[in-house]
Amino acid sequence: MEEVTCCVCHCPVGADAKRIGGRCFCEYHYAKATQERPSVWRAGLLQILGLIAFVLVVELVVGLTDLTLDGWSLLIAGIVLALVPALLWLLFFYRQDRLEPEPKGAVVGVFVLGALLAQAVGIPLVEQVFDVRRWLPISTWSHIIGSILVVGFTQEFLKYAAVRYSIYPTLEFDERVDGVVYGTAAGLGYATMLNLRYVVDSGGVNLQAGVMRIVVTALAQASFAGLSGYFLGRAKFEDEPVWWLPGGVSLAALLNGLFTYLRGEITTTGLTLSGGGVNPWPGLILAALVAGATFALVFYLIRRANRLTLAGANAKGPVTSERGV
Amino acid sequence: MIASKTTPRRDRWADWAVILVVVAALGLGFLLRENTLYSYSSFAVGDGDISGCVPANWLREYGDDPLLQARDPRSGAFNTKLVLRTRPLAPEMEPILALQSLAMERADAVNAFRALETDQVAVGGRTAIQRTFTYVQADRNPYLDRLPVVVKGVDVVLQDAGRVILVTYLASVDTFDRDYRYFRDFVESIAF
Repeated sequence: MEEVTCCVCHCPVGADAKRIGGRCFCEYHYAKATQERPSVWRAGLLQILGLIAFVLVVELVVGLTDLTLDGWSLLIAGIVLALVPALLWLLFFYRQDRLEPEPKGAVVGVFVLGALLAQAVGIPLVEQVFDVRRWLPISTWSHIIGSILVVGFTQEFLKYAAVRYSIYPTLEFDERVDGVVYGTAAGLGYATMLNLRYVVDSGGVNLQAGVMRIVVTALAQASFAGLSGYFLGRAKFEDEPVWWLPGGVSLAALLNGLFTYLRGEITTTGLTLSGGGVNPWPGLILAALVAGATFALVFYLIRRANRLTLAGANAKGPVTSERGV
Repeated sequence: MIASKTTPRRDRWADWAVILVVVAALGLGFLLRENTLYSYSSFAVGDGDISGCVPANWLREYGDDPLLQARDPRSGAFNTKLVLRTRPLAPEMEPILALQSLAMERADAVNAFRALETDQVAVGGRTAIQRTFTYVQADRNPYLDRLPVVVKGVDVVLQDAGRVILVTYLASVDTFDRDYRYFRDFVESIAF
C-alpha cells in the first residue's frame, strides 16, 4: 500500500489523515489550509481606500499649490508615484498581518518576478509583437475581443506563472488565501512595471492625470491577479477538475479585457469648443468598484470554502470530500 | 490511495491545459489581428476597366487624376497612402519615361525629393518597373509645432495598351517597412 503523505509538506500521515477533496493533510497544514485570514481582506480594503486617498491628496496638492515640475524633477516624481501603490499595499499588508506574516522575501520575490515578466515578456508581446495600439481601436468588436485574447490572456497568464512556478510548490504556500496574497503581489509587480514604463517613455507625467492612471492600473492588475490567485489557492488544497485553473486564468483574462475596453470607452470624452480628450475620473471609479467587487467575491468564496471544509470535518470526521463554489 | 496518485497527475494536466488555453487564445488573437489589419474591399475605377482590392479600413477618394487615393487615417503624422493613376503612353515608348515624368512633377511639388533606386520586378506574371524615392513633407503653416516627416515611397509602372498604370505607395520612413504589405497586396490585386 502506498504511503500517505501531506500534500503540502510531504510528511507521512496516517490513513485517517484529514483530507480536503482527494488531498491528505497533516494536522498543522490542515489547520493552515482552512485558516481565516481577515488581515488579508483588511489590507485589500485599506489598499483600495488608501489609493483613492492618495489620488485625492495628489490632486489637492497640485491644485492648491499650482505645482509645476519639468525635466528630471517630473520624471522622478512620476517614478515615485508609480511605486506608491505597491509600497502602500506592502505597508497595509504587513501592518495587518503581524501575527503570522508571510515571509517578506517570498512576497517581494513574487512582486519582482511579476515586474520582470511584464518587462521581459508581457510588454514586448502586447506592444511590439501584437502591436495592439495599431488595430484594437479599428472596431468595437476588435477592441473587445482583442483586449480579452491578447491583453487579458498575456497579462493574466504571466501573473499566474509568477505565482505557479515560484512560490506555489513551496511550503510557504500553505493556505487557500495565499493564492490571493501572492497573486496580488504579482499583479502589483506587473502594474508597477507598466506604470514605470508609462512614466519613463513619456519622460514624466502630468501629476494629476498620471496619478489617476497609475492607481487605476494598480487596482485592476492586483484584483485580476488576486482572482486567478484564488483559483490557484483552491487548486492546491482541493481536488479540483482539470478545467479549474484554465477556467480561472480565462475568467481573469475576460475581466481584464473587458476592463481594458470599458476604461478606454468611459474615460474618452468627445471634442467640444472648450476642449476634450480624456476624463480619468470615471476610470478610477470603475477600477475601485471592480477591485472592491473582486476582493469581496474572493473573500466570500474562500470563507465559504473554509467553512464547508470545517463543517464537513466536524460532521463526518477526518475524511471530507465537499466542494464549494 | 488513489487520490494521492491521481491528484499530481491531474495537476500536471491542469498546468498543460492552462498553457494550451493561453496559446489558443493568443493564436485566435493573432488571427483577429491579421483579419482586422489586412482585410480588403474591392474597387473598380476608370469605367470599370481597372479593378483591385484596397484595405477595408482606409479612407478612399476617387477622381480623374489620381483615379484612386486610399490612406490609413491611423498611421500617424503622415498617413500611409496608396495612389492609382494612369498616363497615356505610346506603345513604342519606354514605360520608364512615365516614371521620369512623375519624378519631375514631384521634384517641383515637394521638398528634398531624391530618387533612390530603380528595379525590374514581377507583378502578377508581368514585368514592371519600380522606383523607390524619398522626400521631406513639411507643413507650410509656420505655427504648426510638428517636425517635418521624411517620406519614403515606391512607384510601380504597369504597361497596358496605349497607357501605363502607375501605382504609388507613400509612407513615413518609420512605418514604410511595416506597411509595405498593403502596397504589395494592392499591386498584386490590380487587374486591367
